[in-house]
Order: sequence, then C-alpha cells, then structure tokens
Amino acid sequence: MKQRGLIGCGIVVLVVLLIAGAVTAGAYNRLVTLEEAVKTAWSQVENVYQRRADLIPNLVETVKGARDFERETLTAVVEARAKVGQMNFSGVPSAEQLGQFQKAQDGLSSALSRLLVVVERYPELRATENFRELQAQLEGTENRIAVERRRFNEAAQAFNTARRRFPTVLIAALFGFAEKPYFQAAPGSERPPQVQF
Amino acid sequence: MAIAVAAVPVRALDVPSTPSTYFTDRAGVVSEGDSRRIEARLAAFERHSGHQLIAVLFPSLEGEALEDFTVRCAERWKVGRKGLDDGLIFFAFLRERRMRLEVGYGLEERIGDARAARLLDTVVKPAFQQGNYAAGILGLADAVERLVGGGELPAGEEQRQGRLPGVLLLLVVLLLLQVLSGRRRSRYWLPFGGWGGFGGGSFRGGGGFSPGGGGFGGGGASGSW
Repeated sequence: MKQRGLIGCGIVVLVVLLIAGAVTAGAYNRLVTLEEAVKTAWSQVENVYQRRADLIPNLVETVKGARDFERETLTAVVEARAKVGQMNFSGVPSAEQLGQFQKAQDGLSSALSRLLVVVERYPELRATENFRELQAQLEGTENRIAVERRRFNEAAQAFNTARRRFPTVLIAALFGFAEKPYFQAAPGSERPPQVQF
Repeated sequence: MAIAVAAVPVRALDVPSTPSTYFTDRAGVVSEGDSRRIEARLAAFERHSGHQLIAVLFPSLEGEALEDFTVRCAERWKVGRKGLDDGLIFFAFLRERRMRLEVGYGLEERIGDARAARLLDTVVKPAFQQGNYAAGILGLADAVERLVGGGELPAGEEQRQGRLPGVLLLLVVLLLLQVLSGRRRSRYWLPFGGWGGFGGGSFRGGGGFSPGGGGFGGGGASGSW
C-alpha cells in the first residue's frame, strides 16, 4: 500500500516537472524567436542609416561645387557625419547606447535639413541633375529610416510585452533576457506612436 | 468605411483591406472604360514580367502623413512575390494632389528612389495635371515595364512550389481522416472544389488581383501635381 502511494507521488511529481519543463522551454523559445526579430530589425535600422551616411560624401562634393556656398552648413554636415561614424555596437544596443546613437543620427538629420534649406538660395545648384538625384535619394533614405525605426520599435515592443508576462518574466530573469530599448519620437514630430493590435 | 473610421477615432484614414483588382478608383474619377483598360494593362504586366503593379486612387489623405500611410498599406497588402519582394504600388490622393510610388525591396536596384521620382515627375505628373488620370497610370505602367525589363528576376514558379507541400499535406490528412472515419459517410465530402481558387490565382486570366506576399521597406518616391 505504502509503496503504491509513493509511486503515485512520484508520478505526480514527474508530471509536474514535465509540465514545468515544457512551459519553460516554450517561454524560452518564444523569447528567443522574438529577440531574433529585434536583432533583425536592428540590423535593418543600421543598414538604412549607413545608406544615408554613404550618400553624404557625394552630397558634400556636389554642394562644394556651387560658387561660394556657405561653409558653416557644410562643415556641420561633415562633423555630424563623423560623429555618426563613431557609433559602433555589436548587436542590439542598450538603452543608453541607443540614446547616444539616436542623438548622433538626429544631429546628422538636422544638419542635413539645414543644408537643404540653405540650398534653396542656390537655384543653379538645385537645378543640376546631380543634386536633384541626391535629394531624391536623401528623401528616400529618410523615409526608409522612419520605416525601419518603427519596425524596430514594434519588434522591441513585442519582445518586451512577452517578456513581462507571467510566467515568461521568471524565465526571462533566469536566462537574463534584457528589456529592449525604443527609439524616441523625434522632437516636433506630430504623430503619436502607433500601437498595432 | 464610415463605420470603420468612427470605430477608430485616432486614425483619420484607415488602411483599406487588400484590393482585389489591380486598379482601384476610390475617388471615382476614372471612367468605366478607362478603369477596364488600366486593369487589363496592369494584369498583363504581371503576366509578362511576373512583377505585380497595382494602382489605387484615394479621394483624400484626410490628414495622414503620406509616406507613413502608404507604407502601412504596402505592409498590409503584400504586393509582389514572397521572397522576391518585387511589387510596386502607385498611390494618388486627389484632394492633396499628392502621389507616391512604393517600390518593393527586390526592385529597388532597378527603380531607385531618384528614378522613381523622375518617373512620377515626367510621366505621371503632366497627365494628372490635365486631369487625365488614366493616361498617367497607363504611362507609368509602360515606363515601369521598360525599366524592369522582362523576366531577369526568376519569373513565376517560386511561390507555387512553396505552397504545394502544404496543400499536399492537407490532402493527405483529409484522406487519412476519411479513411479513419470509415465508409459509412458519403464518399465525396472531400472539398476538391474549393482548391481551384487558391495558388496561382493571379496567373489565370481575368481573375483580378491577388497578392503574392512581397515585402516593402519604404523605397520609392513621392510627388505632387
């Protein structure tokens, strides 16, 4: 009798362990999948920012060609570009790193938009085929940046939401899955962040 | 439409569900006959090149940011083939006189942003300025066809190969179920009739548009007229 009771207990314990194991594995795998998505989204973000940085030497050369173009604006762009070039992380950045990254990139954005405003005063430069092409490429790149930033935020949000859920939160703590940071909306942007369900 | 807008007050203009035709005139500015011509032209473009190009006219942006709205449409509609991401979507918003060509990842090399901008500027804009929307869209289709050429990207087969195992598996499961459930029931409950509409639907003549699962990354250009 006693032995049978023990076996019964053993089976119950075994079943509980199996269930716990399955839950852990499931939650762990889900976090891994979501984290991979965040990593992919981040590399896309890096790609599009790199694409913009690659346009700048050509832009600077083109603008330099215009007669007595404002030196200051040009220097600001070159310096901002250099700052952006120093940003190098392996993998998805921490919140602090992302803050620095965004600050540098936003610095370049505003230097570039200032440049484009100044160019308005140089109609013969604006009329050149080369400049118009560059401008279209720059606009396109800014648009891609906005897209990839939003996708990164969505991926990060999906990960963070899953991570905060019970019991996944225990597994996240156990295996050291850190919360993912978000891009902050650029100051002056009028659109509220979008939450998609 | 009005109900959908009322239910989601945050958004002025909701992303519509995936169009079932190549050309959709939500603004009601293109005649019946012209609509049919555009539809046939865009369908032919897919038959010849494998790339999907669709065009949608909206009455207004209703305060949405142009690029933000169009890329969300592109994400939802998945024009172009899965894996090749070779879709194109032309949008125009009549009241704002703004337009955009969204270019799928796979065609960004052939139709770069600068090229797309020039296309809108030189082909679409002049026609739209005269109120000839049909001519603008047909001209765009011709120009896009010239740019992407024909069939250098692998044409056609990809997606059907991908789908076949899934369909086969389903059939096997259904057959098994049928065998397991015995022969007492009617023998012909297997829904063979239902399969005709799936798979290469977009390749069959006159079947309207069905998206292939293509991805977009914000490539293309915006313009106005």
